[in-house]
Amino acid sequence: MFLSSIKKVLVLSVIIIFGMLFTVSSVSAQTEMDMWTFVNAHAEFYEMMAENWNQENPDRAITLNTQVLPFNQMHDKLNIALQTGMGAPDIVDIEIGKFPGILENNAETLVDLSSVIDEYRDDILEARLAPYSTPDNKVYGIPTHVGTYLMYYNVDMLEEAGVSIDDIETWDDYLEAGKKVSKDTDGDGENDQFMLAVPSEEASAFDGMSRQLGSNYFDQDGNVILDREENIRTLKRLKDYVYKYEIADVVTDYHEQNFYNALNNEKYASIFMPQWYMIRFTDFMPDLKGKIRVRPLPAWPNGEGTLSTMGGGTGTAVTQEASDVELAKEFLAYAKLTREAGVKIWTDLGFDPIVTDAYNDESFQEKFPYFGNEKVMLTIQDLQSEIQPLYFSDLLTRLRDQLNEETLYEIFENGGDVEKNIKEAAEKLRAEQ
Amino acid sequence: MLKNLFYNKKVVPWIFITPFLLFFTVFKVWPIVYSAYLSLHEMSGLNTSNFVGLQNYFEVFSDSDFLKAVWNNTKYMIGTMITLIPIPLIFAVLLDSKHCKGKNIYKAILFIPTLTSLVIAAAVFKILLYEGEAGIINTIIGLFGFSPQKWLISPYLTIPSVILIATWRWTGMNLIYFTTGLTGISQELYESASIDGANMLQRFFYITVPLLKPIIIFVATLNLIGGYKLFTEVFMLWDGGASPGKSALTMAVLLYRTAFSYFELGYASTIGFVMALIILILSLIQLKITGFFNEEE
Repeated sequence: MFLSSIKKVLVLSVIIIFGMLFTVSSVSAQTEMDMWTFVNAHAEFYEMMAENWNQENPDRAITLNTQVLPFNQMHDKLNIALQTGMGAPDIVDIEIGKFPGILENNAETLVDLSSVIDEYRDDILEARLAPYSTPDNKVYGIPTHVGTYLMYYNVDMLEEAGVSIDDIETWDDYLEAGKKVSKDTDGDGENDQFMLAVPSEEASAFDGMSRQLGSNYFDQDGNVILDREENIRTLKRLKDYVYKYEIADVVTDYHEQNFYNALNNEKYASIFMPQWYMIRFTDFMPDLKGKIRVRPLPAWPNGEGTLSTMGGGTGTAVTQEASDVELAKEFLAYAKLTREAGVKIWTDLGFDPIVTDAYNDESFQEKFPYFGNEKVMLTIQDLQSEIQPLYFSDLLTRLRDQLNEETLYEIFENGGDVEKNIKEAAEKLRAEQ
Repeated sequence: MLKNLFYNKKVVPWIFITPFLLFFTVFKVWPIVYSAYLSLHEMSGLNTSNFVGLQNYFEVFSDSDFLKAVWNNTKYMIGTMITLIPIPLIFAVLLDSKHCKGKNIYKAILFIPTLTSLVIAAAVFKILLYEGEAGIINTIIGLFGFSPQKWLISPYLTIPSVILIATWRWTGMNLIYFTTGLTGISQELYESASIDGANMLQRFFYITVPLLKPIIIFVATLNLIGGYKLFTEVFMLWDGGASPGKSALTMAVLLYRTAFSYFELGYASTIGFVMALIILILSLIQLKITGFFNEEE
């Protein structure tokens, strides 16, 4: 009898102790956060940053569940989740082209990140926040990289034509160099080696040059400025490169195997693209090792404009559905805006970070055998002061579709009139405003 | 009480069809009604709407993208009429001939493409139609002395490329329809025609084609509807349907983009309704011209 009551007490106390253990552990349980992205490497990056965060903040630890979805599917799914108020993740990567549209429809379901960004404002390239901000200075996305526009020269081809790349200072110099390097190699009367390839189904060449002039698609208030004089000038110059001077060839875009092969086979002596195109060179064009040099863009004649601009990007946002909005904001700022994050964005993702101090890390001193043993990241660091803000509106997707599928195609592929086509496109978009 | 209900001849059928009616109403009728409502509104996202009456409908007929899409659909539809009726019909007649050996093997080969996933088929054709000299289709046409073509890049070849895929994919299906139709034609007709001195071509044009008319009308109607609903191939071949010079922009792709890229659900619903209307009217015209309604009488 006595024994059995002891047993009972024992069993009971064991149950109570276990119960307490469970309560304690559930109190200190990590906050679960779901994150969506469309890039595998980004998911790995955030997982690593979450581990670092947990080591530094054991009392506010998080469990980050990343999910990688196909590009279009992820953005469509996000949009529906945000609009219905169900199923959105805590943190999400949104591609720059999709960002303004999603923000326009879901401003109240995304979180203004200004409060956490303010702490870092002096340490980052602030201009890069503009595409993810609203006119009232609320910031809804934290950029991943600068995407500094650069000129990639094939120094072998240019030297063979008697051109020194460091003599190319303006777009006029670039044209003269182009005339020397472009030639007919197989004797059929048409050039088959060119200074440049101009894409007719993506706007990257137009973007780089027009943004140098502080122009592009929209002004700060979101008005369409596509038919501005600077843009017309840019397109005319590019079209002249193709039709008048024949130093440029027309291709569909810069992101397909066909084009990588053409570059690799030295059909084009240069191309200008954001910093992240370095990875395309090293991954897809092995034969160009040692031949490519990275330089600032040529300046517009008469000293107008800047030597670089930004291109591409992904803004990471926090949704109102987050289980702990403040924690998500802080983690995101930690994962992208601290010096350590900036260094990791370079070392792990291969991007030029927006954290200015990160460039002083020794990993940025790296010499690249592929790029002629030069310290490429230092060239990029020097260009940061050249980068001006860029403004978008929710019409961006529509505008991109219009440019890529009709306007640029008409101008470059069919030799259509620049002013007429660009004005038509601008009017069509204004009608949607 | 409950038992009485189950034995009531008026009530029981309703009990049985209730689940169907419920699903049908929720998933078919309601979306149609709701999109009719949406088509009269200007929507920005899901939550804000503005009644605009028939403005979207007026807009759609002056929208250059929409008109271009209708024209592209029409070109595709005509193309499939040219390829997807004669080719399967000829195959069906050849396979129906008593001189043909290994019929089932040929039928299987022709039918297999129908079983493939459209998404995968389009992805494979994207590789086959690669525009460089090394492209597989370019290599094949090169054997016959043709220069490599920019299949998915030249605006003149985009719709033909999609027609090529459709022909590859649907020939087998139409072949089955025609073969089934052929089995219904009595051999005696052919025999008596032979005795009267009709040659093979005459027998084909005066016996086979007229007697297969209902099947041909059926296949043509499917082609017409499919032609105006074209989506997946275009969406897959040009990431998200971004074809050069909008040369392969179709109504369905435009609808998808308007709804999910530009977030204009109201206007997208209007496109959907106009699309359905176009298909309905053209189908009726086609059935009228081909005498489908007369035969019913």
